[in-house]
Amino acid sequence: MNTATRERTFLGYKRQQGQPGIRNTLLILNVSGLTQPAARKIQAALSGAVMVSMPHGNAITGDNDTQVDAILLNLAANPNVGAVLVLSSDERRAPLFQELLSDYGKPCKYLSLGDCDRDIITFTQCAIRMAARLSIEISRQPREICALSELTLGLQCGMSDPSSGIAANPLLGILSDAHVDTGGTVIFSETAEWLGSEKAVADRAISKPVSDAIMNSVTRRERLAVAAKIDLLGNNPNQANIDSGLSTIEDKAIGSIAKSGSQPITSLLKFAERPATAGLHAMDGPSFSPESLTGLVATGAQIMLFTTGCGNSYVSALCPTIKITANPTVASTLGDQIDFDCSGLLTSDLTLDAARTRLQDEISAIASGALTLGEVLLEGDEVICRFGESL
Amino acid sequence: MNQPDTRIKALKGMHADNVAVILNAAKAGELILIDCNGNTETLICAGGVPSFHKVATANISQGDAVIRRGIPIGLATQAIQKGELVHVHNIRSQRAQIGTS
Repeated sequence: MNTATRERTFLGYKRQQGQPGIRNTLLILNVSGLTQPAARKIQAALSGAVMVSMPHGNAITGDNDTQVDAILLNLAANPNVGAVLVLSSDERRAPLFQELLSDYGKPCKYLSLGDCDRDIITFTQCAIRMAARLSIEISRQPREICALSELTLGLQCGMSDPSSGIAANPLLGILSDAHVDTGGTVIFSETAEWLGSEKAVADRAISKPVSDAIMNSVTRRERLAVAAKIDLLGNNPNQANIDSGLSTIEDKAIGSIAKSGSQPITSLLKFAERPATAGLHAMDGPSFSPESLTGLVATGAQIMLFTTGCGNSYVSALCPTIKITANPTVASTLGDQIDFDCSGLLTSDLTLDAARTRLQDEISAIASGALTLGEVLLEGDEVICRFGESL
Repeated sequence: MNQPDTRIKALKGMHADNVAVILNAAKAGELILIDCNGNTETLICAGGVPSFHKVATANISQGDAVIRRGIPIGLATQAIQKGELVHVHNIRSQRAQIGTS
């Protein structure tokens, strides 16, 4: 059968609003510092729950705490989240998350220390009971057939080497092109890794405003680096990148942007912003994997395609992350941390098209419930960016 | 013709590039077979080049741009001979340079 015409599917969790999930995770969303230690205990008491924590105060300066709350809300809105338990020391933050409940139609409960007479032991016990009931509730939901085009793919590279740029990232590029052709959504980021190639990225924008926004986002980050006296050499590219053969940021960027393929770029999203339409989108965000992945999760991506050349064990806690390498040595020495070995692109006659078909099959399997190594090894986390100090 | 091709292979993105990425480490004097979108050229390695590192496919003068896939990736900080390793010891980024803007 012609793979170009057959609609690819997976078994996912349909949601009342928006795209289907590929996992049905209970999210323990801790939004205050006082309750973070208890949140850790609550998460550890439950099977399969993921904790995301923002331990800093409400009065964050800089790009302000509204931005942080938007990230938290968008993380909870990710389709892989089946239910949410919000924990806080401050009961006044409840209305924000009740709004989430009404918008996305997913079970959401809220518990504050004030609800428990500021007794942390009572708080912990209450939260475990509430979370256990939410877990039971969402566990009854069956997986159903969904079109693969309902997936938003997040693209990331980390601990890259030249094999990333010449093989693994071009593979993501043609996969991204094919996914967009079927009506799917793809998001790439890591703005500092467009340096030197930003014109090639901006030239693919669907409009002048999007093109200008891309150019401005690169200029802004370049100025940030200069103002902070951060020498990109040794930082991005980092020492492992350099030891593997990458030289300057411009050299690294050529490989990094290859992930994004050749489709038109529909919009430049802010960090953690949800795209309004399908298609290929760029997100203005930091390059380092933990922050970047969390931003991509907040855009609504259900699955991450993560290339590495030197080896990188870090994954998203909420989105299954397929670790991909084209480096034959790493595929062999770090085989237990690599989900998809495409080193045949460099060592045998494996073609990009054949590798793309295999990777699409892998995406369908993992979207349907097959586990990634990062999930099995519990190497996932989510980190929230801060934009300024707290009052 | 049935002998396996044991020459070191390298990839060059565009014809006008002055560097190629080699897939296996090369020693001085070894022949490097360069593939540029199906067209091949050869060059003699002028010094050790580790795998996945860049080799100069043309003589590059000090101050000239090093070009990969049609994009300047930095300026040569010294003269680089064809066949030599091109890396952070002999090229410098032109971007986000502290004290230049």
